[in-house]
Amino acid sequence: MLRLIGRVRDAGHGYCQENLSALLDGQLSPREEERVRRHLAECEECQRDLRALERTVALVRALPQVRAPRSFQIAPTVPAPSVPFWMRPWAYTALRTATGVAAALLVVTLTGNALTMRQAGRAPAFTEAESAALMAAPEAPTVSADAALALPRETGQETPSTRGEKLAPAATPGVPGLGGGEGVGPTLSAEEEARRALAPPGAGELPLETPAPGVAALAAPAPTDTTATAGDREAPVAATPAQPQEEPGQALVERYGQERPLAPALAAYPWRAWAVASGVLAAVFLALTLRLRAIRSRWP
Amino acid sequence: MVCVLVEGLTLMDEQTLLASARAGDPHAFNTLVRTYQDMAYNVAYRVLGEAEAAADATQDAFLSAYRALPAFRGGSFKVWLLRIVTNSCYDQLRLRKRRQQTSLDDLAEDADYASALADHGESPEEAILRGELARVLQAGIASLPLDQRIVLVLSDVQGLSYEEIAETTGIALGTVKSRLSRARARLRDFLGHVREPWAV
Repeated sequence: MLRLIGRVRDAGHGYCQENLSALLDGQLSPREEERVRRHLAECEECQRDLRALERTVALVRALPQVRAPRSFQIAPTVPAPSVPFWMRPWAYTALRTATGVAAALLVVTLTGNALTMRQAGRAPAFTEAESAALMAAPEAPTVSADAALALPRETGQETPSTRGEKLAPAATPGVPGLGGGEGVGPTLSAEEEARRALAPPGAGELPLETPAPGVAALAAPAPTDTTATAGDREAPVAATPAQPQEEPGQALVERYGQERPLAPALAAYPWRAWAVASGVLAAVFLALTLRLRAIRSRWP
Repeated sequence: MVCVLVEGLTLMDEQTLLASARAGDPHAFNTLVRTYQDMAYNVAYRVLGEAEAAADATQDAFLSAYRALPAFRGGSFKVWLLRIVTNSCYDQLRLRKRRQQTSLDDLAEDADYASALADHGESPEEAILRGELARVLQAGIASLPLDQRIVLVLSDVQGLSYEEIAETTGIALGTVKSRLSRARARLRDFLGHVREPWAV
């Protein structure tokens, strides 16, 4: 018990010693000052130190001002002021903003990648109607990139309306939050649903990046061939995540005994490429920002 | 508009002069130099403890300030200038270290500084005592680590507020507080060991 009291007193003593200087300058909050003064009242050592500190500060303040021994005016021949462009105030702001945008882009692309991967991992079993619809696309099993791109246009026209109805519920989960929500669900025609369900993995993904401000400007041209042929109403639909697009592709691969990782890899590729690119960009911008900040802290 | 008098210059004058200087008018800048050169030199002298090094640091600081004017983001010109001065002090110390000239003994032999002390109309005895005290105090300041020395000089020699010191040195307010506390305590202990009438 005595030891505990001793420890509390030691803590009070240390606190008091640390804050004597700020006490002299009136820089303590009322609460801190009260704590310091409470200890001061019962600690002779701290009282002595405070007096000595007060005197020290008074002596330093009384030091005579030293006059400049000569004039430090600059010669008129000195070149006009100029600083490198990257030292101008706006340069740092611009670099910081660029870092922020790249980081936001990274988050968006990582999210897209994660969603794509997750959905690729749980391809549900096909209904008969879906299987029939898929069978109607002859080139699909080869799962080359070209074939995948060709798929939606052909199947979209050939599939019966039942397909769209069956796919509709599967298309909606996971969609909210990433934009393009309107136009999904009951308002879609069966044909559009089918098109969407079979859209190639890469088709609907780039427009997804639009939630990040400024990202669209950075994005490479989206694969417009699908969206252009699908017509105007396709646009909001294309902006939904790749979830429904995955299922048929994966199933096709399984059904036809193709290399299994191909479809998910295809699906993940654009996201991953963008994630890597934005990650590198963010890292470079961040490094530059930190470096510039270090230089500026040494600079005026 | 409220105009605060800054050593003979109003803030409005200062803004006008800064604008002209930024546009490349060295005369406008020299008016600012004349206003602030004693302050700049005094800080450099107290930090470096040597007249010649302080003069070099001050000259470098004003040249850097003139060149860097477009990077000045507004705010207090005095604080901005002091930031450049303290940076010049760091550079001077590095230079001196490279030349192997740093030694506390130089300080006592520095003939310049006694004559540079301002005359306060004292008796010769007082002046001697005062000169001696100044020498001891300067030795005490020189014994502090550079970071602490700069904060102590800005606060107790130059009279800057904690906020201004934080802005000048680019450190957090809490760090200013603790660094100043350590510097003063160290100087107090240094003076406590000196067996002289002014020993604290």
